[in-house]
Amino acid sequence: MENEIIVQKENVQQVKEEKKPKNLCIGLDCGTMNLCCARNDSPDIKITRNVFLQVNKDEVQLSELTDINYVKSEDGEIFIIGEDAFKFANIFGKEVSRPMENGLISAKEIYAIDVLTMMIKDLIGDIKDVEAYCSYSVPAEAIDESRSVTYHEKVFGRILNSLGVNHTPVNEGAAIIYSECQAEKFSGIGISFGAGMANCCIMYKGIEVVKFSTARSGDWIDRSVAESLNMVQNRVTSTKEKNLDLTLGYSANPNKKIRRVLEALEYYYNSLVNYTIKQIIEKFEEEVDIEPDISLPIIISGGTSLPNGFLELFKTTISKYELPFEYSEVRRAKNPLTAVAQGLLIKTISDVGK
Amino acid sequence: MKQIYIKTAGYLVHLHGYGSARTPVRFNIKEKHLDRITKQLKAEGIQFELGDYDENVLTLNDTPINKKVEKPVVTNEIDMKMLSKIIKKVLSEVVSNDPTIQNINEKIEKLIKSEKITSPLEEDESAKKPKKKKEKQEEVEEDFIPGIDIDEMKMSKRSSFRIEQLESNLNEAADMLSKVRK
Repeated sequence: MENEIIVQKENVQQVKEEKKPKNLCIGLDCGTMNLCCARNDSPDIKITRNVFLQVNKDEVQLSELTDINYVKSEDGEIFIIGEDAFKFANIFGKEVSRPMENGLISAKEIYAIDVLTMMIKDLIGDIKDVEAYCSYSVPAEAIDESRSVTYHEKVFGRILNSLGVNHTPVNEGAAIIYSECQAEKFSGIGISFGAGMANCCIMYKGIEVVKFSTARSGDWIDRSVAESLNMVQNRVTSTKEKNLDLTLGYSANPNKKIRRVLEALEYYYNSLVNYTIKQIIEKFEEEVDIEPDISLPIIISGGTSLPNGFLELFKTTISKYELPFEYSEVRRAKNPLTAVAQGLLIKTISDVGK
Repeated sequence: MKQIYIKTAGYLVHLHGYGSARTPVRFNIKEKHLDRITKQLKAEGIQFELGDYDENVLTLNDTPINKKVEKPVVTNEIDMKMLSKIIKKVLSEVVSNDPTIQNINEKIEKLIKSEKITSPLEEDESAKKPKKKKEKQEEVEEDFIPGIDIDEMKMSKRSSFRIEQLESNLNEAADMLSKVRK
């Protein structure tokens, strides 16, 4: 009898709580290659490939696509999305369509924004009966390219609006510091080597001091290798993700064809790291007048930094330069694929409250 | 005169005599150019609708395609901007090389290090920008963003995979961030 009374009381309390919409905090990393979403009510971070492949509706029956992720439009167009699009494209030697290009929304793809919205809707998941708040990643203005990031920022704002989510743009490099530099009171140099751009943010005690991006990163490597070896770009990406180990070196691979790709990849990885460090030095010399009284850690993140040996390559390369700043260490983000989404989620919780 | 309406969003089309425009877009065109333009749109695979002339929409110039494009006129305003940039650059170089200024800079740095004065790091760059101008820019840019229509789109199944979050105490990290930023 006593137990029954207690149970009834708990139910009443539950009903009262349900009436008030809870705040849901979200961190959304809008990357050129991957979309990544973290929610404060979930122990997991969801990731999907930010690619799609339009298939000829006359050639493919929907019944043949039972195990495939796809989006069907109003006029019957079929788009294979995510990892499946990537696999299909590699099998047929086609290039996948990318909603984003070089870190920004692509103007070339007609269906890009609608397909992107569907993918983001799926990633964010259920937001019924909650007030959803989201920090989404935006790159800084590129120093070696004239494209503006404003359009990109606005498009993602509109996508989140259409899904009923409150949103704030946050710099991608800053998100890395939010995620990885709590011990340093959010002071550090965050570098995200993504697919489209390399983003760099220098933050001191939670304040962005300088942020910028360069238009060279993973896609630049893949494109350069593909052009040099006359290959399809996504095949280069696939070989990179499966076989590249910068510590072992290309010569360790027994397959001659793969070895050739790996050799070119290593060459362009070296070139990318050198280029990025030179840009950081230049930017520091131009814009950062005051050195903080502590030496800042450098945090390396992003999908392009995933190959084994990348951190060592960065450390070796930076040690060869005379730097206009002090750094305490160079370390890798705990998970280079999810660090931005995690940092964005921390920022949302900090802004909105628990 | 006829009106062309490119309904599909997401294209960047170059309208002769007007410049680039993002679709969806409507524009009027003389009938003598209609055949050539519609052929070009079809060849590009861009779907469009033909309508009657509407005085409220953009009318393209009647300039022949091969006519020499007029050279851009450099206005006085741009000249002044360029000039002021050059003067600023020259001045800053002169000033930064001045030993007296260098001496002052060194003293300021020492004071900042000894925490006798506050570092100007906390200045927010966005605060320096004139707000009115920014608001106006945003209004204009909103028109360029294509509409989103996913009501009739369907997804077969979930396309994402999951990775465990590494940060166990997000709230603690967020609290610390709030305190640091205060």
